[in-house]
Amino acid sequence: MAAAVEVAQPLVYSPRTLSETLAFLSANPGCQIIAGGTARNPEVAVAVSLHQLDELKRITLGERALDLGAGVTLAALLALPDSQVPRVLKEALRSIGTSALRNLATLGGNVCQRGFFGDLVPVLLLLGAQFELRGQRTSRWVAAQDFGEHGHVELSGGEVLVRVRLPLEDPGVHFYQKIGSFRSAWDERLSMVCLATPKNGLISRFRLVFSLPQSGLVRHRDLEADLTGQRLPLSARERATVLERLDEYLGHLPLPASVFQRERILHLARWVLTRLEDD
Amino acid sequence: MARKRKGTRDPLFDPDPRLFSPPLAECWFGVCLRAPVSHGRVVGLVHPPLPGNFVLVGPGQIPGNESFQVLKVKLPLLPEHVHYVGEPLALLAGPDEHTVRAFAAQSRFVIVPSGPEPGPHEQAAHGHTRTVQRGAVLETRDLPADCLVVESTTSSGAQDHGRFDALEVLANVTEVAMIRVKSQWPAHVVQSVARALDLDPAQVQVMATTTAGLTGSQVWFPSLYSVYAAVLSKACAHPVLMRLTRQEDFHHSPKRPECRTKLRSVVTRDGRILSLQADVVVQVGAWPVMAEELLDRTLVGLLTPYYLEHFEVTGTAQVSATPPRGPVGSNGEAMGLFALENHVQDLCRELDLDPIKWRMANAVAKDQPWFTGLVPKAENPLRPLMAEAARVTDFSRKQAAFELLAQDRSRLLEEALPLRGIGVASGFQGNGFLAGGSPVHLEGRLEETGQLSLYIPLVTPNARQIELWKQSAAAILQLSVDNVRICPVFSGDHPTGGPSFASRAFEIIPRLLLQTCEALAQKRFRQPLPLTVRSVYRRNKGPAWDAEQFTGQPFLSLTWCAAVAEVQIIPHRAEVEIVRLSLVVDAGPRIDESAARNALIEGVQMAVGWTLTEALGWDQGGVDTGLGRYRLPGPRELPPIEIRFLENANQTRPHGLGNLGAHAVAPALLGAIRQALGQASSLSSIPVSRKMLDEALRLGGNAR
Amino acid sequence: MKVHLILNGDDVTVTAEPRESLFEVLQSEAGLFADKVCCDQGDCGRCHLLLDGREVPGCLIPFFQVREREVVTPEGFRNTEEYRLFRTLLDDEGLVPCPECTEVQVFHLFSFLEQFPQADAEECRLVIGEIPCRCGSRPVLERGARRWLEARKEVPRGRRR
Repeated sequence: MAAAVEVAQPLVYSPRTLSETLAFLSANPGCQIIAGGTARNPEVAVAVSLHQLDELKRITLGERALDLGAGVTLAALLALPDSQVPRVLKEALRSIGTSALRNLATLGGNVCQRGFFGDLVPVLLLLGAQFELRGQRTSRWVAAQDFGEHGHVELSGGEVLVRVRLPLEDPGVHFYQKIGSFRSAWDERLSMVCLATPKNGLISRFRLVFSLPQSGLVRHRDLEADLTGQRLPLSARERATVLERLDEYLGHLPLPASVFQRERILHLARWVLTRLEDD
Repeated sequence: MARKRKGTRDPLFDPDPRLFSPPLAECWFGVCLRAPVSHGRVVGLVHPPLPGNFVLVGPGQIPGNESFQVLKVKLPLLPEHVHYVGEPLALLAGPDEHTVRAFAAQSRFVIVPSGPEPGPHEQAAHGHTRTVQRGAVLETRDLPADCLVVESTTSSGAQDHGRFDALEVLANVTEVAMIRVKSQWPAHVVQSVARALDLDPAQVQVMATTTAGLTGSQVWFPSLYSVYAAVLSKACAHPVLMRLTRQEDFHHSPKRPECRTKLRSVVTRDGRILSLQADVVVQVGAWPVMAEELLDRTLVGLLTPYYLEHFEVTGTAQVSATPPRGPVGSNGEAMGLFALENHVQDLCRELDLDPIKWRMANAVAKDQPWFTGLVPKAENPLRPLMAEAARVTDFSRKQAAFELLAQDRSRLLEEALPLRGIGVASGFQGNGFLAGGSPVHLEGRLEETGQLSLYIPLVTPNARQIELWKQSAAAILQLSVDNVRICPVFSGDHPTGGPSFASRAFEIIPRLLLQTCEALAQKRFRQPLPLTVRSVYRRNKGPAWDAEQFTGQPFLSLTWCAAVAEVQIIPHRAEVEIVRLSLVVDAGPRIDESAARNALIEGVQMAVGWTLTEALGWDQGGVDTGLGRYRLPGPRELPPIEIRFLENANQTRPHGLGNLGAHAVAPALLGAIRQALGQASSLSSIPVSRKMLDEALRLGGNAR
Repeated sequence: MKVHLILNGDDVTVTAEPRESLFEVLQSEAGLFADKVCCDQGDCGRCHLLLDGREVPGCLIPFFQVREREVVTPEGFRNTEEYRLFRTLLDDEGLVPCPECTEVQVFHLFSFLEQFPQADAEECRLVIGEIPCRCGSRPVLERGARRWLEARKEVPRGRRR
């Protein structure tokens, strides 16, 4: 009787091993991958759920790097000791969703989700993370800086992100700010990550990236290079010069950015530069 | 797949299940089919083949009167002409919810446009405007020497009730109609259902669910859906359950109306208001439901706190092709007070006066006539409240310090430091507006077994309150608390309730409970059991409220407070951070201190959301914000809230206080934000969004 | 699809469509989450449950994912000794029960405190704020969370059910 109003249910495949998953993806191009399942994706006819893949849930601490399976939940990452996970990454993790959502959401899901806020990508980018992508017959490592301006992993057909490798080096001092949430309008949201290493009164390393949801990442590498080696604290005039250059850079930004976002980028940069003096 | 929900309901009251809780297996599910556009004429409905036993009710198929009446305003039920997006145009019921919802999702009305969308406009109908005048307002040409004119325009936005318990109605119509609904106005449910089904009101019985107090003051909205469910139940000859999803509830429940107020006052150099003019425009949506009370209460909010010898205030309800609004978070006083207090801030700033001292000097005093013409018998508690607020928050020193800081605003921005501000506002809550139109009854019945049943004409979600009532009764009659039963409210025993029901829990019920139990105690050993005693509350003998003239006594009582907000604006985040929120309250003795604090905090949160986070607008006749975008204030916006109760020997009875925070905090917060942004800040509308702050920061300072 | 799972300590088999949410299935098939209306977006907290001991939004869990897993709902939690102790502590602090959120908040907060026993006051404040509600019970919950954690530090206990 109710045939006219039935809603079609898609086929969902839940493999138990990675090789099964890769074989299935290879045989079903266009199939949707479900990781933590926190993002509402358009309904498709066929989907593969990674929730049973224990291989993707491993965390391995090596001598020079921390290897995180793509299926590790954000809550599991937060539960790792502070000595293993950079504080800036924890700060970014805490800014995502709610504690219950973080029990579901996975590292891989956050990194691969298109059109997403990109909470973790800018942090992983500055921390020098590497990403392992596996296909049925392929395996490759990519660095976050190779993601391109959109700031997420581009998976080729049939590929799955299996692992994120985080180098174990001191990131220096960090600044992390996230403005707005998933409840805010897109043009009122952005996040900023800055890692800096002050040494002997000089800035020995400086990295600064802004993430605009639905647009991509903003990073002024020349400015980073110019700031490296500058004496601390920066004078008001030096700060003003940096901000002028950033303002000019924003004027030619290839990404769409709202007035609000541009203003915040300048304010956030100013905030970082003044705080850098304090350290 | 057929789905029935199992489980029991209402742990506090357990009604006779045969009457109000038919087995859910016998229930059908009902939904509304809604208008997808804001205007036009319905010419058809395109839908999948209707399963044989489904029931579809459209225009012209209401068994009784085809309009739904709220006080003086009538709304058409299932109209042929659309008035707003989401307006129910047809009703559908079927045996299982999934199929009914799927059918509704795949059905589309064919609507022929009838010209462009009507813009906001005023209607001359009764209740749409209100003008009150006393004395003679001063025109600019008549200004006395050494006086000046202060003008301000303030606007406040719409607000959702923010409750997660969405509306749910169960209607079981046979020869009689049994309605189960979360309503604080059961008598209106009875009238509305009787009217739509062409029944005698005695044939309609309503049971309010235990969460009736938490309807977010939707007042008339549950009655409308009771009618829909009852019409469906009659049409399909089954009990019908209608329940809105949270999304539906968000999109279709009435919102607090937007309000724009222009104020003009003529003041002396020492700040005395010689005359005040106000022009208030309230958006009421497609139907001016309760617009009259809304306007009156908004104007009362404007006129109550301070002495005004000459004034002229005009309120207008503006109609537009958007869903009808409702009284969310009190009915109007909040909007009037918000505009007035914002104006007082302008006035004090213009004249360089201490805002606390101004309020103490201008609060209506014992010997001064109030706007109604009545002279208060007791001293206005606003003075000691303000003094205490100033003391505990160190207001004057901080205000001066932040004023100095603001002069150095460019440097603060240059060094990416926060901008700071502090604001104060007076607040009051009127308990029982227009109260006394109907008596309130409370019945107590003491059985031979020693069991006491108290029939209390108020449904409260507050289990502690129920426990306190039980304890009081048990103590008076020397019974065990287990022998006291608080009984459900049946419409047959229920007086005409109404919008001003909420404060009865504090104002009337304790008095009636005491009277009833004491009378039972007296009769107990003189008369045979069972014994029944009925106590009645009738309005006091004071002059009745005259809404046309604005004379008499609008409230049973007033509760006062002073609110102080301290904020900092973080330029790099374009964000307001509330550093401190203090509320000093005179509400008389507290029955339950925790409950009183809880209620005050609830109101404060409502105000913080209204001022900062809860943005809501209308686009082409519908709510333009998805539920996912609507944000109640979270821990980032909510600091610890400091509450102090002022002990007042004149206040011997507890008074309602649930709306105090909602009334006083918004203007205090906006005042603080304006001080932080500097003298030039003309920010005068809420909610204050990040974009508005960004704009204010850009306009006011050269540093970015 | 027929799925076997452990629901509130009992072995059960439930039949539903694979992509239906666990919340929806438990509400309609098991009569759980009575009266709760969920936002269906994973952020209102009304549908929270424990899946293999971790608190998750039930509206985001597709039914097919729960095969052979352990699910505890607030109804199941209410039958535990921990609930009684935690609730008594909150009542002592002056909790005014809110018909909309109290049960949800108590479950949510307790689950968080179990998962993160080292949480500080600020983290607790943020977690309490994750359940949107108009009621004024947050300060009491914050005090209760602090007291609970302090008590736990003094007498470490395992989880009992």
